[in-house]
Amino acid sequence: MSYSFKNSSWQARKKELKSRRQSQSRKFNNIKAQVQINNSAFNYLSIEAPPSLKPAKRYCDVTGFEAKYKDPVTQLYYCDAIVFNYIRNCPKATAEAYLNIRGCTQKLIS
Amino acid sequence: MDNWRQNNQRRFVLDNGSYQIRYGNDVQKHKQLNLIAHLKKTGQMIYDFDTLFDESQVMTYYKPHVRGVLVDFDKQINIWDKFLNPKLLKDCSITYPFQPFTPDQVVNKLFDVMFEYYNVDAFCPINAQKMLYYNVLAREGLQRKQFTYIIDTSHSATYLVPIFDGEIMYSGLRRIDIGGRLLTNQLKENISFKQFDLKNYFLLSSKIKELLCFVSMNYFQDMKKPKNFFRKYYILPDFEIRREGYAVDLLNVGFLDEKLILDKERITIPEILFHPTEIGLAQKGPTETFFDSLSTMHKDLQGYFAENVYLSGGNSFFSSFYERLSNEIRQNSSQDWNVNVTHLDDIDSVFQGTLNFNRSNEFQNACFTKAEYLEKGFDNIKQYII
Repeated sequence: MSYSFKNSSWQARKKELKSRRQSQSRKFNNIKAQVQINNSAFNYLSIEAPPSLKPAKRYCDVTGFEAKYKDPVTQLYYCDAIVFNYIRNCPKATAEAYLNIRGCTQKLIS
Repeated sequence: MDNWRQNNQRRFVLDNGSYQIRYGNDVQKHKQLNLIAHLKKTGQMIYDFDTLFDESQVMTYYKPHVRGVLVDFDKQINIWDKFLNPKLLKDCSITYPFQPFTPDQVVNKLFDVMFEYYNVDAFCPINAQKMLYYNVLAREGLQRKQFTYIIDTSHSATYLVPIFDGEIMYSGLRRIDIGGRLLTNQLKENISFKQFDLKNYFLLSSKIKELLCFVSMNYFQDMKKPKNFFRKYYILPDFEIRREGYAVDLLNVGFLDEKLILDKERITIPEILFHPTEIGLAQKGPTETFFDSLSTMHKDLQGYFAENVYLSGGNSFFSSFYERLSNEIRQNSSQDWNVNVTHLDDIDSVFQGTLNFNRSNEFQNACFTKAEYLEKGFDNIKQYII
């Protein structure tokens, strides 16, 4: 039985592709781990540039201006007194969302 | 019998990058993107992806490279089968530029694939930045050059390589993990946070980056300027009337166009190349690693390296990237040095350099023939450092 709405040139997606997609980063981590086992003077990991000696510029998480202060309770950078008022009165979920944008995924205590 | 030893046209070059593939010899040249695209509606797989292809249908992409390292060989062989023919490669040789210190697993498997599957007569693994040295020799018409320093910014990473008399100084080699791929991903996230969801459109956002972004000479003073100073609009492609988008000024924009607003992202995104701490990466920028790698040399030789600095790679085509780097290097160096930075203007500079290497005298010594491989295997062949 052939239906008129079915596309005759459709190929089913192979199941191997989906499982291979997850394992690519795993393959890369395996290769990196083997490089550490074979000890030699120069390898793939030893050429990386060292961390910089100049102090890093920090930017406010809410507004985007240059931040000079850091809140010890929520670990957010802020630049003004108005922003500080907003930070201290907002619920915990929005503070964690601001932290996730920057990249740190720690959970707040209080 | 026409062999690769006598005939120069039988020596092929396969430049397999994480963004583009270039293949050819003196006469012919083939260029394509290194991707497999999978259309969702029809289930079709596309292996030879050209830049003329548009993104009007929903596609998912698969790449054999992860962070610049070849990881998945099955997908790569599927891409190579479209232009590499084992019957025509019987008397030919292939040179293959590598990134420095690729892991041993990748190189050993490549010997397998080339000799057993494609039946190549000779295979020559060589460093990619050494090919830029041969490109410099071809430009200036020399046979040999004592001091060169190469800064190569490309899709996956940037490399800083000092070369003395044709040999790489391994104590001064450095790699920064920032390349063109990270910049387009940052632009994608910035735009899809506020305006329009571009998370599945990598090629469109790379086109936006190439059109509109530039490097500013005074970053901290440019950030204090008012709101509409750098504003430009990008009109999105609508696949009934126009296939490609274009950039438009403040005066010429219409009210009903579907547009993206780019104001200060034009400056902040190329700034990540110079200050990686803006994202949170704990690595030095290119000027600091330049002086860090020079400090491993003897004090008297440092000035000679600073006289011959060469810039290349896809990232160096941002407007005023070259002026900013040469200014920063000149500001931080001592008074006696005579700093001289030149820009290699060719996009395919590694490809042109390997063509020059194939004509030179050192090519015969650096090859591994099939007879050696069949006799010894790759445990004894492994006496090279890439």
